[in-house]
Amino acid sequence: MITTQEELKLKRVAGGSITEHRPLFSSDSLYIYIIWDDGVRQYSIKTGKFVQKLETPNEVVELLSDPEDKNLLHGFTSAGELLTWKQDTGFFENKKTLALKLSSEKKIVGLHLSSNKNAVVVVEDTEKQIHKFIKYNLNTNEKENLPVIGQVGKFSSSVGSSDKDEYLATIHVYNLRVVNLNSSEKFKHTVNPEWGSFSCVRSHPKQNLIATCDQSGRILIWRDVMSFQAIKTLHHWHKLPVNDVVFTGQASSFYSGGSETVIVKWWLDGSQSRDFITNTGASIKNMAISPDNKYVAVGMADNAIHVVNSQMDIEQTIQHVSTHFEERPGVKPIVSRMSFDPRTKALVVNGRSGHVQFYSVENQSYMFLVDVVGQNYLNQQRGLDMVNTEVVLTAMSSDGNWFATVEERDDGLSHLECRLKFWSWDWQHKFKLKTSIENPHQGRVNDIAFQPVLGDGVNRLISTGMNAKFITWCKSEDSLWTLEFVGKLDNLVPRPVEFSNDTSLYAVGFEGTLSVWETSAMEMKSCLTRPDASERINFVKFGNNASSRYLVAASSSKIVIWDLILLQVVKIIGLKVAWLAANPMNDHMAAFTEGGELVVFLPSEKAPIYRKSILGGKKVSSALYWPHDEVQSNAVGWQRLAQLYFMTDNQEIFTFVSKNEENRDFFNPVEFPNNEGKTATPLAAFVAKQTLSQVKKVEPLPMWKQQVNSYQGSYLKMMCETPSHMLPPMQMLVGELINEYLTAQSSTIEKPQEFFKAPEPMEVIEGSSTDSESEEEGSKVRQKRRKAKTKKLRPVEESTLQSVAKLQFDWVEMLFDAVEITSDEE
Amino acid sequence: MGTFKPLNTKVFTKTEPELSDEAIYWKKFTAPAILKDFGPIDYIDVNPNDPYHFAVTCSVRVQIFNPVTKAVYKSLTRFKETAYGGKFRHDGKLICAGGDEAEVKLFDVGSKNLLRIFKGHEGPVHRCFFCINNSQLFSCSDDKSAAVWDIASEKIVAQYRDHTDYVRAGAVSPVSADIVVSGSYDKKVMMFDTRTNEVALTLDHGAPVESVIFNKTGSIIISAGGTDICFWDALAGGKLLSRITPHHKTITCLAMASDGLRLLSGGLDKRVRVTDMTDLQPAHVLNYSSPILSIGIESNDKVLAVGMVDGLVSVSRKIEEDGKGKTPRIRYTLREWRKREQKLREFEPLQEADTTFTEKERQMMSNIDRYLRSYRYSKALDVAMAMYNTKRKAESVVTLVQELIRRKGLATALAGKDDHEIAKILKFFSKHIGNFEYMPTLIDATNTLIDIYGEEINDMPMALDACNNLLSTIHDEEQLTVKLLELQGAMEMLKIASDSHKLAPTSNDDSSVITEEFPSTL
Repeated sequence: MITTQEELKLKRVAGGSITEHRPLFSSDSLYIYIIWDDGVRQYSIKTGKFVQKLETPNEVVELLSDPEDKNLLHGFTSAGELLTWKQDTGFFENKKTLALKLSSEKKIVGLHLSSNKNAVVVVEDTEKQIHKFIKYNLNTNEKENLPVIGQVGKFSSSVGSSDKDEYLATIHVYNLRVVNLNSSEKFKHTVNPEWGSFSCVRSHPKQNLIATCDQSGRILIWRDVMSFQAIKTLHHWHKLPVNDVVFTGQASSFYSGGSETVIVKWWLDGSQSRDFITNTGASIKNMAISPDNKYVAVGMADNAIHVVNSQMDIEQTIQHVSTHFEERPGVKPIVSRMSFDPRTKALVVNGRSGHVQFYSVENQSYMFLVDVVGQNYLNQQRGLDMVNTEVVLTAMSSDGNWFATVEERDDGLSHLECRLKFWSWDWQHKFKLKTSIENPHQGRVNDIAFQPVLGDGVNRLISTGMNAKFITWCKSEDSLWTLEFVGKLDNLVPRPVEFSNDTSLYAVGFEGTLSVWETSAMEMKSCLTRPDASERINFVKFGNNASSRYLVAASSSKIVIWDLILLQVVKIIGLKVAWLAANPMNDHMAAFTEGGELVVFLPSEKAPIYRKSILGGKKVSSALYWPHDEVQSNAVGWQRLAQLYFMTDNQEIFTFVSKNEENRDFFNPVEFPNNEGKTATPLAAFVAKQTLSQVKKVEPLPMWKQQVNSYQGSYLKMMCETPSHMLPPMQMLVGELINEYLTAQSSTIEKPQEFFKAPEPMEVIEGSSTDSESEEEGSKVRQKRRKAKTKKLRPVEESTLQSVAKLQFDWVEMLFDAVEITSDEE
Repeated sequence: MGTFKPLNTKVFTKTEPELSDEAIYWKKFTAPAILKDFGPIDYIDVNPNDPYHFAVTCSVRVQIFNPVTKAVYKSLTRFKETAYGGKFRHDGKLICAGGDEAEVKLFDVGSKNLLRIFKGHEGPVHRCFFCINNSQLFSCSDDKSAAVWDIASEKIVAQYRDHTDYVRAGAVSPVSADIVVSGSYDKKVMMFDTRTNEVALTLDHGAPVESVIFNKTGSIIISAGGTDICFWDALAGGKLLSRITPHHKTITCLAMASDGLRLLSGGLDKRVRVTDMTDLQPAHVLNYSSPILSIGIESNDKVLAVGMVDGLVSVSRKIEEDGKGKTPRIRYTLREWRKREQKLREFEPLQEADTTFTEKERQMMSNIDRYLRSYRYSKALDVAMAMYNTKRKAESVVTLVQELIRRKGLATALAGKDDHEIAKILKFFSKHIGNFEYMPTLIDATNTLIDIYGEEINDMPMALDACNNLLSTIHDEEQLTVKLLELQGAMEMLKIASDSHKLAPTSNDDSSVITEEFPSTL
C-alpha cells in the first residue's frame, strides 16, 4: 500500500467569474482584456480564442487604458498597485504602488483615470457601507480625499470630462453627486424617491453627459451636470433595474442591459427609437465599448462575454464555465453532478438555466452547450416569482453514445414538472433528443445511472424516484427508450443507484437499506440492512478490480463497507461524507467530508491512503476521477491512473496537485502568435503548413515498445520475438533480462544514488540463475551483446534497475502462471 | 441565442423512429398498382431495357406488362399446363419459360411466336435462364437435373444429375458463360462448369434452396432457403462469407437492386427485406398484403414488381428526380413567392466594401408564439382555442396552457372572457382531463379558472353547464382510478405471494464488526 503522504495543493482548473469586472478593449479594438482568476487574459475578438495571460501579483480590480498613450494598458490591484503593460507586445512595463495608507476597514475596489496626472481611487468603507474617493496625483503622489460618497455597488461612480473640467459622478440612494476634480466644486441632484434608488451611473468620457439608472428601470440622461440646473431626459423601457449602461463615442446612442436578458441600444437623436437583442438567456452584468465604437462587450451572468457589433448581432462569445445563476432571492443555484464524456473528453455539468455544458478540462475551454429544456428563459418580473425549468441530474453512458438528463420545475403552486430525456450522440457533435418521458416517477427523480456498456451492446438506465420505485429503462431497436422493469422495496424511497463494473449487479439504496439486484433476471439478490439503519444512504459504490467484492455505502455520518460474498459488514468508518467518488481505473475511493477533508481509501484496507483537510472551506457539490491517457509518473500515487476533480457549489472545478506537478503546465493553453491578424498573411500560413506536411511525423510508440526498440539485437529482443510457449520458465528469464540492462551500463555508472545499496549486482544475478541451461544461454547472449552497440542509461534508471535486480522475482512467475491458467480456461 | 424558442408541442406527441435515408429512398416509389391474376405468381422478370416491361409467369401463361400503363403488353399463352419462370434475354427480345410440360419454350417477344422447344427433361422445369453468350439456355428441373442447352440446335449440351431432389433454383454467372449454379430441395447449391462438365462447387445451405442468385460481379453466390440467406464466395472455393436471417418464415425469392448495392428478399412473412450488400445489415422493410413468391426489380430500381400467393402483383415505379420522370410542380406560398421575387431583385453585393451587412432573416413563428412573445397571453389562448376548433389538436392548447402556467400568465389569459368562451374552455378541459399526460396541467388550469370565475359562474348559464359536465367527468375518472387501484392491489398480492419464497431478507450478525475510525494522521 502506498502511504506516502505527499504535500498536495488545490489547483483551480476552471470556473470562476469572468464577468465580475468590466472587460476592456485594446486600443486597436482587435482584442479584449478580461480579469479572471489570478491574472488578466487577452482574447482575440475575431476568433474568440485566448491569446495570452498577463501575470499580476495581486487580484486586479480594474482594467484601464491609458488616456494619453494608447499603447499602454493599466491594471489596478486590490493592494493599490498600478500595473502597466504594453498592448502590442504584452510586455510588463512597470509597477507603481500608490501610497494610500488605508485603515483596515477600508478596501480598494476600483480606480478611475482622468488624465495621466490624476487618478481617483475608489475605496469601500466596510463599516459604514459606503464608497469613498481619494484623488491621487500620479506624478507628485499627492492625495486628497474627495468630499463625496457613493453607495456600495459595482458601478456607483464614474469619471467624465466636459470641455475644460474633469468630474467624478457618484450615486448614493436618491442623490447624484458631481464633483469637479480640478476645483473641487460640488453639485448635488436629487430624484423623486418614488422611482426607487439609483442602480448605476456612467459618464461619457469626452462630453458633459451622465447616464443614471434606477431600481424602476428608468434611465436618465443628464446634460450640463456641472450646474445646479442640469437637463435630464428620461428613457424608460426596462422593467427591472438596469445593471449597466455605456455611451458610444460620439454620444449618438447608448447601450443598456439588465435582468430582462435583453441588450438595448438607444438612439439619442430624440427619436426614442431602440434596437434589441432579446432572449440572450442570462441577465446582463456589465458593458464596455471598443474605442472604434464597432463593438460592445456585454458581460453576462452565465459567465459569458458577448461581443456585439453595431448592427446588434452577437459577433463573438467568450465563454468560460457556464454557470447556473439564480435570480430569485434566497434560492441557491442548482449544480448538477459532474459526469465524464469519454468521447469529447469533456466534463458534463449543467450550465446556464436549462442547459448542459461540455467543458474540456484538458484544453481549459468551454466546448458547447446542449439546450435540454428547449424553453425560453423566463426572466424575473416585478411581483412574480418566475421559476425556470432546470436540469437537475445528468448521466453519461460509458461509451459516450447516450446521455440522459432529468429536468425539473417546481414553483410550489402548480404540479411539479419533471422530464427524463435521452439524448444520442450525433455526428455533428451535438446530442440529439431521442426520447422524452414526462413525469417518470410522478414526482422528483432522485438519481439516474447508466449500465456500463459492454460488448453485448445493452443500453440500460435506472432511475429512482420519490414514488418509492425505481424504473429500469431499456433502449429498444429503433433507438427509443422504453420502460423495462419497475422495482420497489416496501414503501421505502430509493435514492442512490449504481451498477457494478461487470453490469451483473446493481445496488439501490432504499433509505437506510441497501438492496442488491441481479441485472439479467431483475431480481433482488440480497437486502442489506444494519440494525441502526435509520440514516439515509446517500451514495453507493461498487468496488473495482481487486475490491469488486465490496459494496460501499455512505450516509451522512458514516461509510459502511459490505462484503458481497459473505453478505457481511466488513468495516464502518465514521465520516460525514459530502461526496463519494470511485476511481474507475483501480480500487481507490475518495470521500469528501463535510468538514473539508479528503479521504482516499481502499475498501479492503484498514488505513486510508490519504487523509487531509485541504479543501479550504470549499463546499463540494460533486467529484469524479478522470482517467489519464497514460500513467502520470510524477503524480501522487493515488492519482497516477486518474486525476481527482471536484466541483464546488459555485461551479469552480479544482484538482489536487503535488509539489513537483505544480510547475508542470497542467493543461497547455493553445498558443497563438502575438501578431495574429497583423502580419501573418494567408499565404504565410499556407507556406508554413506545407513545410510541416513534408516532415514525416513519427508516431510515438508506447513505452514498452520504445524500450524494446532501443535494445535491438539484444536478449530482450530475442525474448520478445520468441513465441511465449517456447520461452523457458520465468525465473530463468528475469535475471538474465536485468543483467542485460545492467552490464551494458556498468561502465557508465559513476556515482550510485543514495538509495542504491546493491554494489555487486553481477554477483547477485549470477548466483540467482543456477540452472545450467540458462547459464549457457546467458553466456551466449552476453557474447552477442558485447558485440552489440551499447545504449546509455541515465544513472537514475540504472540505479532503479539495480535495485530491481535485488528483488525476488517469484511473484512474476506466479503472475505468469496465473495468466497461463486463465488463458487455458479460455 | 437571440431567438425565441417556439412552443414545443412534441412533448405530448408520441415519438416515432426517424426516417433513415434508406427509408426515404424506398418511399420515393409511386403508390403500388395492384394487378390481379389467377393462382400464385411464380416468377417475375423485368426487361432490362427501356421501357422496362415485366413478365409475370402465372398459371398457364406468361404476361408482359407495361410498367407505366400497367396494361398487358403481350400475353404468351402457348402452354398446355402451368408455366414457370419466364425470363427475358439480356436484350429483352426473347423470353424463355419452363413448365409442367417438362419443356423449355423460347418465344419472340415482339411477335409472340414460339421459336424453339427444348425437350429432354423428365419433370417439370421450374427455372430457366439465358447464358450471357445468348446462345445457350440453362434449365432446372424437377427430374433432379439441371441442363445447359444449345439454342440453335435445341440440343442438350450438358446435363447434371448430381442433385438428389427437385432443382427449383438456378442462376447463370453474370461474367462467365460457362458457369451456372443450381439450388435444390436436397439443401445443396451446386456450381457447374460447362467446360469440364463437372460439379465445380457443392455448397450446403442447410435447408431446401428456394432461390439462388449471383451478385453483380459474379463473385458471390447468394442462396435462400428456409429462413436463411447464405453468402458464398464463388471465387474462394465456396467459403461461407455470411449467413443472415432477415425473415421469420421461408424466403422464397431474391433479387439484386440499386445496381448491386442492395439485396431484396421476399418471404412468406409478407415482407420484402432490403439488405445492404456492403455490410449485410438490414436496411429497410417493405410490407405487403400476402406471402410473397416473386420479386422483379430493374437493376437500377426503376420498376419494382412483387408477386404474391393469391395472384396479386404489386407494381411501383421510382420517381425520377432528374426531370425525366414526373416532377412535382413547385407550389409557392405567397410568402415564399415574395421572398423569391425579392431575391431576384437583389443587387449583386459590392465586392469591395469595408463592411457588408446581410439582411437578417426574420424568424418564422406561429401566431401563438407571436402573441406569447409579446406577452399577449389572452390573445394567444384565443388563437389556440380557435385552432383546436378547426384542427382538433389538443396538444397545442395544453402546451400553451402549460407555458402560461410557467410564465404565471394563465390568470391574465383566462380573465375577461365571456360565457361562451369560458364554456368552450371548460368543455375542452372536461374532454381531455382524463388523458394522463394532460391531467396535471389541466387540473392546475381548472383551479386557476375557478379562482377567477368562481363568483360569477352562476351568472353564466353555458359555463355552469360545462362546469357540471366537468364535475361528472372528474367523478368518473375518480371511480375508474379507484377500480384500477383495487385491481392493482389484488395483482400485487398475487405477485408478492409468488415472490415471497425467493426472498428471505438477509439479516446480519454485526457483533463481529467493530466500528472503527481511520487514524486521523498517518
